[in-house]
Amino acid sequence: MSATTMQSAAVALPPPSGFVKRFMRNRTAMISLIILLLITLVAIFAPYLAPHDPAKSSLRAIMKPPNATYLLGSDDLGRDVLSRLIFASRLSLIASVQAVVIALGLGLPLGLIAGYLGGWVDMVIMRLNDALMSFPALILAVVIVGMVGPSLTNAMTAIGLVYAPRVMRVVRGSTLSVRQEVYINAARATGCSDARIITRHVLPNVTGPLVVQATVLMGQALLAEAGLSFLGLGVQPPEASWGSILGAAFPFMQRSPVPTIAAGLVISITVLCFNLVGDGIRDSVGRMRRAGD
Amino acid sequence: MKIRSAAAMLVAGALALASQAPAQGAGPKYNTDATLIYYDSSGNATLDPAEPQNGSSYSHESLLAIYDTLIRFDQAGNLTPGLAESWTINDDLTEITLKIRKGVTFHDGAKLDAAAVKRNFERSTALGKRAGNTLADTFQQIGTIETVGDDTVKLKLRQPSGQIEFRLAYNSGMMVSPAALEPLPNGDPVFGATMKPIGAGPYRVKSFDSNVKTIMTRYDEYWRGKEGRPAGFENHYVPDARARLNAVRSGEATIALIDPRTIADAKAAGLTIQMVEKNALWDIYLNVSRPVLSDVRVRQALMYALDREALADAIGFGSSKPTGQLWAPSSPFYIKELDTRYPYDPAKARALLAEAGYKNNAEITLLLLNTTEYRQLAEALQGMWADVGVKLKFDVIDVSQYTQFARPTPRGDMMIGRNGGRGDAVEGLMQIVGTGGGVNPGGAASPKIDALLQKARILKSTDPKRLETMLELSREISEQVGNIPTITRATVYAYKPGCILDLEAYMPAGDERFNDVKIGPNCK
Repeated sequence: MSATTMQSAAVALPPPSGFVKRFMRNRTAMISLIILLLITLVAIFAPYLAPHDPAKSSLRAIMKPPNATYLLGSDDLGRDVLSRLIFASRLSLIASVQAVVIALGLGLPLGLIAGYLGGWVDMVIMRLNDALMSFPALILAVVIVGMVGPSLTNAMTAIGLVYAPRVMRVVRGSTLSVRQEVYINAARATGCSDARIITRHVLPNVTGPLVVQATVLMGQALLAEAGLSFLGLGVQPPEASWGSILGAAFPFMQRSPVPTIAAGLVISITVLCFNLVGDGIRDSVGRMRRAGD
Repeated sequence: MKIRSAAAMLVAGALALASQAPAQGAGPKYNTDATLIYYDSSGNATLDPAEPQNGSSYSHESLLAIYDTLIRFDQAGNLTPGLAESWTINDDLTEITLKIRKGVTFHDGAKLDAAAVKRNFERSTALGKRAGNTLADTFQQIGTIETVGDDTVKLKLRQPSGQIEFRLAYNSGMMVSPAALEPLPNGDPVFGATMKPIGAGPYRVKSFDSNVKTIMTRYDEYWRGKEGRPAGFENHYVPDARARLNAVRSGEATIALIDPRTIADAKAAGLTIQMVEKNALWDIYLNVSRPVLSDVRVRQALMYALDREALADAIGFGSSKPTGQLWAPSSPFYIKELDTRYPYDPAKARALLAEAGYKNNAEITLLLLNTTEYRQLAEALQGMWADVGVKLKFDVIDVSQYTQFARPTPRGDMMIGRNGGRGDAVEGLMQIVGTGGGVNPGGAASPKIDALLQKARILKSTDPKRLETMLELSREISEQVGNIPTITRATVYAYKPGCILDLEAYMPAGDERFNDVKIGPNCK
């Protein structure tokens, strides 16, 4: 174990004030964060912001181009596309959070256990992990949803399960380096239990990479949710997510392109923002590491 | 003498030239080296005519190409000779005698004779209720199967039936080579995937992927000749409507069944659109044994809550009209006033629901087949019914799993079906509203419906009482709301101009019969 690894692991998460300063200096990450906050606000205040009832269809006004009544036009059942996108932001964000929480809930403890205990426990957990990771994520999610039936909860549980191994790998890697530290040996020598060592000494030191991973996963989960809903395997009508709006608009892309473009843009921008914020966090943490050196 | 012979030579020469000239000028009429590649929205789980999924008339293109039937529907749905060159039915409808055509061979070279037909019937009988609904019902009605000589088969029925001849023009009459019907080592009859698809139709199977594609090549010894037929026929199951259209645009497919929503795009791409009006409609099949749907007032309320005009405009794109029954105006069973029996009246719908004890708390689960087409209609229904306080929930499945509405354990309270009708009108009604019908897990909406169906079953197709009974039946179904008809549905095909020839309406099924379709001379 090199000295660099030991040091970087020991100071993985910098003191908050320094971290925030560094993050705020990263303009791209800050703009992305602001956009994400705005989207979250839109989701929270959707009922006040949406000009129409998102589920109210008007079959006699289908696929209208953008106009004063329907700012982004109407869809194939005569519903206001803008109102639907506004309301859909709620489901898309909540669904992503749900998937990430499940991925963390499974990946974090198993990664900690595998990394800390090592030996055959690590062996068993990681081989299962490898087996899960050998499947393409979205395909595996489609299989799971196909077995348990399509619904948003099922879809996001499937995505969470599929992403758990990624979290597990990151956590295990960090844990492996932390457990070699002198202070862990010291804690053990003073009679601390394994559970205490894991929660008090190991966990805080894997938080940095974990936050980065969780942010990036948010973007990926959002994209996966959009993909599953696009295929009709995620959210079920009358509720809608950005993916299901895209899926419904796509067959009419040539006749009425605005809903497809709008839904596609919203998904792309949000995913991009999550990734850029993730990069920002990673870079801020990284600078601290160098500072630690 | 010289003059006469010279004149004769001139005439002969002119005739010879005349006979050659058009051939040279016009070239061949069809491209018989090309393969007809059809992209369809329905598939086949197996190629066994007895397979339950193959009971759907939308799964018939491959089956009709592989297996010829004993009796043959013509394009209009009339019964004409097929593998049986003639047949007779006795006056009390208890005996049917088939004279089997001579000189017909199966794709494996086996000869079609009375024994082969008997072997087919015995296998179907042995399958019992495992077989598709209609087929099982047919052989449940047949008591004994006898052969007389090598070209006559005599069927004695358990009870009088006017339906058997129609059935023999459908799956029950699709003949399979006896070699493919050998029982399994444990004595069970072959069924589904264990049956080799060897028939006596114009195309033989080269390869088959369950619910993906059937690849067939022309069978040159086909008894009706091979003239003009393409070298092969491929039937691909592609659930996505846009993918089907794009396949035709790119030349990947010769012809595709397209979604009415893509008609404008197809036209813009320079494709030929062929719209075939049939008895087909977007229907909603009901499970009337479910508590909420067991009340006729709820079913009537659902009818009143539908704005069919708006549905036809939004979903049909010029290919649909509002309808309140299973028959098109061209059918003898059509009753005009049934189309307006339930006008759009949300207030009346609410009143009926309230009377039935539902005030914004009726909840219905719709078994939704996961394609954009079904989904769009389902969402439109969801919106209209929500307006009268009915919450429609979706239980989503793949199209190929639609039999789950009835089998093995009924799933969902209702299911949207693009009903294509049946060659036998009584059979068509039986499946949708009769007890034991393939898409009717909850039984008949009233005992009278079953009684009238039973009555119609034992009347000859030429008996005036049959028409009378069918009209009475249609009225009773409408009154009891045995199903929820919405809008008509024309079958819409797209292909490159001049590439598909002789595609004619085939009224007995939801989709057309491709057996005699030709490919244009300048098309691949």
